[in-house]
Amino acid sequence: MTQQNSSPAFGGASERRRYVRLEQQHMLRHEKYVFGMTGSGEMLPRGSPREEEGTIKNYSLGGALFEAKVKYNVGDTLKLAISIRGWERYKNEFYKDDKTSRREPVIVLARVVRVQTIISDSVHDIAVEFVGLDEGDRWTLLKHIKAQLEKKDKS
Amino acid sequence: MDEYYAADNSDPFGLFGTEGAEELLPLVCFRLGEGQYALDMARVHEVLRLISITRVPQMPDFVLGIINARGNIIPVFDLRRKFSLGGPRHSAGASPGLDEAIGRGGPFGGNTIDKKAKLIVVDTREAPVSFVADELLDNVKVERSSIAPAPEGKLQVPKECVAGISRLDERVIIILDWDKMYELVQEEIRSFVS
Repeated sequence: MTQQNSSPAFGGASERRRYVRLEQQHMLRHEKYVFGMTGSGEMLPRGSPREEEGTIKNYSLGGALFEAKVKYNVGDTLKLAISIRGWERYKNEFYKDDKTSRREPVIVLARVVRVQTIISDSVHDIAVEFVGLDEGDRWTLLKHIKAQLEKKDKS
Repeated sequence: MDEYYAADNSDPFGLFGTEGAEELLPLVCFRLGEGQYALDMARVHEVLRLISITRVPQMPDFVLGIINARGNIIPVFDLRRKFSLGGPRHSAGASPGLDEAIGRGGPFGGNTIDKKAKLIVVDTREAPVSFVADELLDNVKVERSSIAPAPEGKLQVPKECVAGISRLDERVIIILDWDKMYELVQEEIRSFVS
């Protein structure tokens, strides 16, 4: 699929033009998002019964590559909670009653664009494209990535 | 009148009248298709500009997908589509801001909603949900006693979803019963999935 080849997470030509990729490892929690029946009988979007943990291998503003124990299918919609240490210091907004002002992971909606099995039934590389990133978080992440790259250049 | 719109005595901010005065109902007014509609402000969680909507597969077409609003995942419904409310069409590319927000070929196909569109987030029992309004109009306060019952057979939305009609100068505002509307939305999703 051409979509997979040009994925920002895999460093295709389009990625070089659009987003800089950061080779950093971070923990993340991931779950597949679908509409399902809630306790009160409402059909609402919800994650898998169990959140899985994984490790981000690299990421950019457009997507990420992470290692997971579960295998997803191309096209699946995932909710990722990525724990990037120190990213929240670049936030511009302040919401007194909102959890986003506290130290929390970046929440991203992502679509699976490529899956590569490293060890059968236990280790998979999942490439995702970010399809739902809060605008404020996007700016915060952009500033964080920029700061990390400047730091890397200096060292 | 729907019990939901019955006058209550709680007015923590003292904004909506003093003792003995007419009870006022604050409404958020918006456009859906060609009609002006309103919801009780108490039910509206927030209004967002149209942001990127992620489609969720195997859902009825009026379920546009989900959004990520400050880390909260909220479903988005197209009530105009659900209740077959008409309205002017907009050509693709006519609203570059919108095209960017929803992506070309996205849930709206880039041809039905202009850049005035907003997402109205409404509180429900379990979690907030949202729907697309073609335009956010204003916030008004109407006297509860002035709200008329829904007329027979003259509305585009099902009569059971209408809490009442309010006339403000030249405007006719259809006050929606969100709980009933949401019930119909849920019914259709459930029957689609099963």
